[in-house]
Amino acid sequence: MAIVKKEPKIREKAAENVNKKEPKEIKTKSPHGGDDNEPEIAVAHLAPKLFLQSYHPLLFKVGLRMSAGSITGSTQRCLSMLIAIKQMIHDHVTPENKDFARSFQAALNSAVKFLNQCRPMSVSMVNGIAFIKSHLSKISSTVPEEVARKQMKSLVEGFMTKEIELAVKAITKEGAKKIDHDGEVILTYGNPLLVKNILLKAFMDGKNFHVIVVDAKPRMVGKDLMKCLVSRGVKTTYIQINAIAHVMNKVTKVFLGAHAMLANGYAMASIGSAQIALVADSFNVPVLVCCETFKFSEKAILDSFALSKSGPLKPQEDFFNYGNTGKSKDSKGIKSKQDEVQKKEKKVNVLSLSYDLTPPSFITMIITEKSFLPASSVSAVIRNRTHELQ
Amino acid sequence: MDKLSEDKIAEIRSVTQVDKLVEDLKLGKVNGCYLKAFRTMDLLEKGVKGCAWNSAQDLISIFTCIGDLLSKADPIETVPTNIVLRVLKGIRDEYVTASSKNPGDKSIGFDTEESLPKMMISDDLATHDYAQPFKDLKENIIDYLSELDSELEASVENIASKSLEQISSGQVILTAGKSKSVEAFLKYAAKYMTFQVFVAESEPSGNGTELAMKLAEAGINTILIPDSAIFAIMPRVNKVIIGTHSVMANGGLKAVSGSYALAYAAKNHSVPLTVCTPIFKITPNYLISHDQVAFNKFVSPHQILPFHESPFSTETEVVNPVFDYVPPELVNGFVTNWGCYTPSYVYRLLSELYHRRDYLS
Repeated sequence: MAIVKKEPKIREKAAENVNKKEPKEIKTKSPHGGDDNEPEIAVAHLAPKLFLQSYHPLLFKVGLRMSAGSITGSTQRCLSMLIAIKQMIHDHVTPENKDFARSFQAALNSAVKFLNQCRPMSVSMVNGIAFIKSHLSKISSTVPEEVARKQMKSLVEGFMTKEIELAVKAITKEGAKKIDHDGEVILTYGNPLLVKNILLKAFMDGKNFHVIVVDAKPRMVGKDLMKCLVSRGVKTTYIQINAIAHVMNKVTKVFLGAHAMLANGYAMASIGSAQIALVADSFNVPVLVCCETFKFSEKAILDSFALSKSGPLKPQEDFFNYGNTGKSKDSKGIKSKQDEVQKKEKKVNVLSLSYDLTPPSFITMIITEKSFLPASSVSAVIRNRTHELQ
Repeated sequence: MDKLSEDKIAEIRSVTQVDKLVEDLKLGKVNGCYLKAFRTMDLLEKGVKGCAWNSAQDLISIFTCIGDLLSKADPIETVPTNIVLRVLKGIRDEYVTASSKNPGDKSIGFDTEESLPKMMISDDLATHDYAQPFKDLKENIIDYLSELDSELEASVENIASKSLEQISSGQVILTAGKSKSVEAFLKYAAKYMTFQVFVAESEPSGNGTELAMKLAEAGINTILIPDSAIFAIMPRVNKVIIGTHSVMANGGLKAVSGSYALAYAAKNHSVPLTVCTPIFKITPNYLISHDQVAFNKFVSPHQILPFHESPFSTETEVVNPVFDYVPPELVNGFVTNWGCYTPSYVYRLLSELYHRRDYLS
């Protein structure tokens, strides 16, 4: 087996996401390819608002990268936001005659507003902010500034370690135990961080299993997971979402990642997850959803359309790129075909949702860092958490 | 059925040029079920006119031979076989009619209608040998073929004209893949009312994109969605209308892969699923086990994972099936050129369309 690069720890990856310099990274990720100023275009409508207020440069950077889609995944987004906020706490200058907590609260509010404009905040981010705010409000005005600053910094640090890093570790460990008998066939969809960790952990533990990675438009990130698994020597099958009914009778367990768990037991996950869970349910295959409890939301949504505005700002061209692979090879032919496609594109509307909702009836259990839970227990966990915060 | 001599097979081959169609089927050059049907009809017409035969029995064995050749060309493809079976049934019916007109024949007053008691007795199997030559049988068969030809030609319009019973104004329709019948169906309805159509892309072939463009050009409010969004939009959909590759004898479908998830999602949301299909797509085949390997067709994985992405493309198993089996309980109805039927009625259509002796051998 070839020596493969070790996967970076999630914290390090988040730090790298935030600090990496080259703007090229963003450009190559942007699907238009070749066009200049892509990130600027993507946030052009924000420009007037952006320059009215001054934001912390790190926050600014994080926000723009989220909007361009180069920081994705709810854990990564939350972590990079927290890194930026920690830096904000460090650099915050308290105006005269005001105390630290109150003035930082205002800065935080405008930061939230900014991040929401870049891309609607993920549930993980909302929960992170709620955590910070609740602790900020507890700091009394008599506490000296430096003490408060230090306290807040360590709180943010603690959230990152306890709620995120350790949670990921615990879920990885517990989840890997669920691959328990020889020759299991695990099906997963997309490239969820937790599932990837679980599969790699189980493989390290010497378990014998086969992975089926399902991929689908619009995100097509399953390929990354497949490459990661194959390079480590895990037996892998790669299919597109249309073939799930064909492979499902061989599958023993389905592992899904989730963007968030909602209070009504629905799992909000990248679009297509519900379809996987549905077909798994029809074949009586258990569906395990991996989700840290900091991603539990008190929202109770029933319709995937309510989530339609939570995707990154991205031009939706993918559906029409088949014109490029047409029969005519000469550049002129391709050009005219592209024009034709563009003309038609105006008539065909394209709907691109980022998330869908998987009903609790399809979810066998949720793997969290607290324990294995049924979908109906999400509200209990949330209640417990709000109680702690008060 | 007696085996044909080598000479006879050679004659059939040269007269009907069946090898050309076999080759085209193997290479996948014949696109669309209608084209396949017409080419098979062409071939059979040549066979009736060109081959030497005396009685219905001779002709039946000639056509059975052609049917064998065609089904071997592509065992997954059902349309050419169905057409041959249909014509065989026609020949048998013509023979029975002719013989009932002839006084002195042993089967005077034979009733062509089938019924349950008769199936049990199987009187027809025992009495008819189709060996008697009749003067005007050839003419009658040629007439039958031209009738069938015009039926095939009109089938798209016939299906389309039934759309007004199925769709009503303001509804939201979901479809997937590319089907000539569905396209005509929706376009016909769009002349009389406005509605919205969601089209799933049907990756990896991306056929849905083509359909979406055609519908949009016809002025229908069309929205293209990725396959992954099927479940998410289902609550908004009033009706799912899809085409199919073939209809199995139990009323199940062999349809483009992804249809199972689509049909099951529809069932889950209690959205009715209607299938538009010409009658010649009904096949006497069953899916015996749910292990779909023999039933399915697998194409190059290149569409999913390009070869140049080595070493991953060589170390990964990539599955790219073309079809999905959709069980009859997920289908609410068929719209055919003969009329609208439920899956439970398909077995009855089968006995109207084909003769048991031809497909049970």
